[in-house]
Amino acid sequence: MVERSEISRDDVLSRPQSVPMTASELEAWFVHEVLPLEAQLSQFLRRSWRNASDIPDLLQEVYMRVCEAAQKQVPVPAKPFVFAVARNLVIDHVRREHVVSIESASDPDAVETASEEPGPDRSAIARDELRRLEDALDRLPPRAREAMVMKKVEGLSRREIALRMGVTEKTVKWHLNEAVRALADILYGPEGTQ
Amino acid sequence: MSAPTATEIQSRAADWLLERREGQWSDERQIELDAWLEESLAHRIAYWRLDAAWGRADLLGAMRRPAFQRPPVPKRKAWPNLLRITAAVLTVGAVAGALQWFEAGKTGEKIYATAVGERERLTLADGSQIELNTDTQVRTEIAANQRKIWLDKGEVYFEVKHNEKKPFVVMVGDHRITDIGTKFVVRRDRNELKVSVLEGVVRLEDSRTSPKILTKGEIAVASANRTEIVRPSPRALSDAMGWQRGVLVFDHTTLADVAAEFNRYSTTKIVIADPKTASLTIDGTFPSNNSRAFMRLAQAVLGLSVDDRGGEIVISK
Repeated sequence: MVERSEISRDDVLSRPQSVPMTASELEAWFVHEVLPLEAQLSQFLRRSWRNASDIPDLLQEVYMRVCEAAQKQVPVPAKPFVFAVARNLVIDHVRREHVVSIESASDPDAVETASEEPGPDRSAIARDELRRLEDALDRLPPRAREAMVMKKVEGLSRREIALRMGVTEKTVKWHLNEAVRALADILYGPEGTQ
Repeated sequence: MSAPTATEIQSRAADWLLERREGQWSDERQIELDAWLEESLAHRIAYWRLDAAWGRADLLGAMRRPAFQRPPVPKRKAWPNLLRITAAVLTVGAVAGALQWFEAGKTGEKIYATAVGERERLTLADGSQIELNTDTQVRTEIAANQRKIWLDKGEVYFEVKHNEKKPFVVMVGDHRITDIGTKFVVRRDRNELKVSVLEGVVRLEDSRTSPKILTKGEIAVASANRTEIVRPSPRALSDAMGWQRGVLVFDHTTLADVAAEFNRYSTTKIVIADPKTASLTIDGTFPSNNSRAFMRLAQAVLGLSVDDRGGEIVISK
């Protein structure tokens, strides 16, 4: 089983940088340090790349390059490194495809950074998080949302959800699949920052 | 053969994730998942990302989980009489004013009602707040494992104090509305049930169709054989809540509907004499307990004649 919760963000950041990370350390680092940048990152990619349908693939490529590098040495802080990787990736693609986008050279540092104030108390964080989740829920496609509420809020099994929605388990699986992906896009992607 | 796209990888990762969290997970499947993750860093990243998002959503369930199974009928404990009387007195004290209150035959069941034109807000034993609009009756049963309210007639605003161990259920005829932590309004008219969600999520179900999940800003209108869910503009939703401020808000509303609305709040009924007049529309905000401002508008602006016959006001061309 993947044990993720044992490794805290501090554990990852305080470790000697020269020692390669284990898979679960890499996961923890990725989830804590890189994923929160996704909104800004995809905003940057959108501005730098004309074809919006390429964004998921570009994003994946940025993540791969970042994680490959981090496996050897953890970049601290993560943000400038992630954006440098993104900029290089865009430049590579522009060269390869001989497409010049006016904004390709746009400065990632110009992407407005979210204010990083010292944290509010835990209950406020939980409330904010709950509100964010509710908003995310609101924005899911209706059937996916319905399936997700039954799964997450009510803790029903796929079979029970199928019975209640009056569809096959396969359809439920499809709705949930859509819900998981849309949820990640909303929570981490540009959708989540609106 | 081209490499799978990021979206394809994500979809595969989502399937793995859902299966793994579904409960029937075996060591063999774990080995297969590990192999898939091992195959490529892209697989791992996609999986980590979705797992993190899905994990965050666990909070939804942890904070607001209603019981799915129909809760068992609560065992009716024979409360010591003294305790019962004390509770009754406290409740009466809390809902002073015009509100009628009585304890029904069943232990723990209470009835609250407002007369035509009245409005009353009260706090239930569990800390939830409800506000009864005009001509409304509810019965409440706040038991150890379940909170149940029957809406016999009228309209009620609910502000539910969340308690995941005690689902909050509103029964209207054969419809059942389960709160998943929220503020909502239920209105029961002769042939229609209306549920408006102001915050959070509620579930609406009846014995015939699959349950509907309503989220913030949605209104479900259920009649005998169908349920329709609409999402009005936030403005329209807030207008519909005008009664809490003692006003009725109309926006291109026909006189027929305006009259019906005022008639809920007064024993003096407005009657529109002819269909042509009934189909005129008006806009405006009026006090719900006083239809005179509306009469003036009807007379002065629409040029209608208003005939007060005592107990009935007839509006005609």
